[in-house]
Amino acid sequence: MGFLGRKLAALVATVAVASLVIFGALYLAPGDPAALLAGGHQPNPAALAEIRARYHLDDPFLAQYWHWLSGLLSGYPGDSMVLKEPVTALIAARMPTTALLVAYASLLILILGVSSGIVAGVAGRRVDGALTVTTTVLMAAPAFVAAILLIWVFATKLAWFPVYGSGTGFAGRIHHLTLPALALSGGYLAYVSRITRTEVRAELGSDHVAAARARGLPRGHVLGRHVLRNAAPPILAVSGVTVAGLFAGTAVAEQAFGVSGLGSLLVQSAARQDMVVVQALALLLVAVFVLVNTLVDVLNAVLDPRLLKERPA
Amino acid sequence: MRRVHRSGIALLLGLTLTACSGSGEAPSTGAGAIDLVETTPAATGEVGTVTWALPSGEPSSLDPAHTGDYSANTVGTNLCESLLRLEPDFSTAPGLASAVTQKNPTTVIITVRDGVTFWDGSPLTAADVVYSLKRNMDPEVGSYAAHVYANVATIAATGPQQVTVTFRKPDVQFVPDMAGVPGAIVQERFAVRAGAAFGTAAGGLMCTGPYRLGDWSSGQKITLTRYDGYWDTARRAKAATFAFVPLTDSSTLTSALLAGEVDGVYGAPGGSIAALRRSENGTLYFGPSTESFSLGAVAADGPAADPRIRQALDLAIDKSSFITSVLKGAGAPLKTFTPPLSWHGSPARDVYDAGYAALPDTTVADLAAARKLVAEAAPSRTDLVIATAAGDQSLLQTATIAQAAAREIGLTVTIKQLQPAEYAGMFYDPSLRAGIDLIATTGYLEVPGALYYAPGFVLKGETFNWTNYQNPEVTANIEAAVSATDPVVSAQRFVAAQAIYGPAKLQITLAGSYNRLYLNKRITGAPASFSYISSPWAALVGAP
Repeated sequence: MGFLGRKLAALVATVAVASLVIFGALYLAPGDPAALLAGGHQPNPAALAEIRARYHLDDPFLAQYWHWLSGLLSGYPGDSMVLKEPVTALIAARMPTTALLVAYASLLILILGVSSGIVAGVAGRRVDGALTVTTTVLMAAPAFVAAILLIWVFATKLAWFPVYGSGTGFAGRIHHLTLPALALSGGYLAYVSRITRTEVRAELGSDHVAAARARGLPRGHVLGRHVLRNAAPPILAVSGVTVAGLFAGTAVAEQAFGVSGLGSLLVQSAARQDMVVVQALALLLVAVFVLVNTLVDVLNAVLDPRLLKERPA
Repeated sequence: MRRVHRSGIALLLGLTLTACSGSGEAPSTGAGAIDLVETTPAATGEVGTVTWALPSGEPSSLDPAHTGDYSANTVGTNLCESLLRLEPDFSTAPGLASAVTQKNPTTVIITVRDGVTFWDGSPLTAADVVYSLKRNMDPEVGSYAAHVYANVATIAATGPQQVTVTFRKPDVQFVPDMAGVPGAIVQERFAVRAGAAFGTAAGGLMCTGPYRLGDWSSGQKITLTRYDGYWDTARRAKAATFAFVPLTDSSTLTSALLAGEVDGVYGAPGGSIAALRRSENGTLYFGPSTESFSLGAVAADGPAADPRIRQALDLAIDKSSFITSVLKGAGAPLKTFTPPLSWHGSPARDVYDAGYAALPDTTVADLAAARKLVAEAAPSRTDLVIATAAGDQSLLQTATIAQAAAREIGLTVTIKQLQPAEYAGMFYDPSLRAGIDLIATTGYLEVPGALYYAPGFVLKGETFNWTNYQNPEVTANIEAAVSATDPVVSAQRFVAAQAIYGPAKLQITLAGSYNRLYLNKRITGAPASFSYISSPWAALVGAP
């Protein structure tokens, strides 16, 4: 089995196990979703029975799981129990906003995180110290706290950005998603910056860099060819994990800024015990996480072909 | 470096300050005492678009049969009107019915108003009324209002504009119930065709209200547009469109209100009362409400089933400090679970008021009396469990206050936070109540009528009678009250029953909370009282 084959098999196996865990966890969750769906003061037993039958709630666990899985595999994960719309339609409507938010936050993380890390790595103690303080603060602040601060400063006081909403059109969306992207990326950005700084420092102190310097190679050349190239794989790996993790982080940022995306849909559906939507979304998030990680592995392998060789048994 | 460092500290300070203001320990409610108003100054002109927040999130359906919470009512009552209209003082006026008459204890006559049209221009008929009411009795529909129809035998058109409802058992609460969502009318043809999707973003609605359902982009906003053929020309909508946006994060909502991005909200966040009262671009109004906080006994055995223990807990909790800490001052003591606003519009108001005044006042804590009751009861166990809904801060605070009070009188309280589905299930599934003694809860009446709550709590075998409360005198009086067509007689019998079951504290009522309405200064006219929950209130909103 080649490198790609192994990676793909691992991806499929992870998602398969995740599907069972997700379904099982929600199956075991306390409370009767039928009661919430029936609502009102005193749910009618006949109405409850009807709901239970419609959503196969009385079937044995494995039968329910199989029903769900076969639906997923055939591209029809079912209808929302609460909104009565197909889950695919609900996800499709919110996917672009979340994808844009994640892309925006990823760019902030990669550009600001990596570049500030490089600067901290090569610059003197004063700049390094300043960046260390900043990243410490960013890492300490949870997304919802960052959201409150960002709204207070940039939306209420300065009125540069809107307080809430998803916006329309590309410019409108970017305008609306700037604060959520900042809140979402803050902690991850600081983390990537720290890792980059450490890796760059390590490479700067290594023998081959010292040798290159001794040979009188220009500073930029040493940084580009010797330092950054060798520091890249771990930075890339960490960035990949953080970007993959962004999808999960969107729940907090979207909720705080009233952005209509997958994260807020997950929070909303969980609160309403809309199992069908929660299950599909949870699995989707796991799949995206695993997929992005796999892509990072492949990218790393391209940069460092030694990884492609099968390890000796 | 120093500059960055300092800004780092400022940022950290900012975090600490935010955390403090979020914890809500300051009881201050801003400038001055709270004045209650039923309405805001009437609007004099039209406005274009009004943006309104829904702090409880997006409604899952606007089908009146599936409407029964804050968000769905806030939006839906402007679309599908009821047979009667709820006024700000909680009295009722004719709505889609020009009259709803209790002919005798088991017959109600509905006269359908002439000249009302649905949004598609077709006239409202008696058949639509029969269909809409009967829908609530269909298990397939699973209506939230099914309980209102529990005693109904038949609903039939008995004339071109007349519908007759007959009852298996007398139920004078049915008429006031028609002022709420249980009496909402939809078009039969449209509803039948839409099927299960009726009232959702996909299926749409067809009703007679001052607004019609416009664009509903799920998760983002629900837009209502003015219906130009609305029958009540005096109450024609002043705003061309009304956009409802779900904003569940209270700090984001407050910022959006202060920044003017959102024009108004019902149920403004309790923690933001001080900030909103200081706002220069709008006004925070407080109105009378039927909402209340309480601890309900849910066990038929154990300490909470003993009235003396419930009375002791009631005496141990200081209601004034509860109002200060949980409600931030925006509430008032309440002696029993049926709030006085529910009978304000009744012709027998004086009888009800006198009965209420005669109930014992336990606003101020009396620990000595409470300890005496506990000693008398000498419960076999002194540890109790109070259930709350996970994630609901004010209910958790309520339970914590009860816990502290219980400790003072020798009882140990454990707080159990339940997931929403489990918490909701407790209200009808006895197995989920096992191991729980009390439940911290909020409640409200969406329609007038003193008989809205009482029968369910005090009659044998009823939904909320979790302690198996039984008292022959109470039963006789409540049964007489629900079958008396003379409002004064009904009130007298109700008051007689309340005098007995009230002190038994089946619900330990902690306080009534005021309705909180915030309006940007560019708009006015919305009712400040809780009547918005059942009336087409948005039509009144316009330019000052």
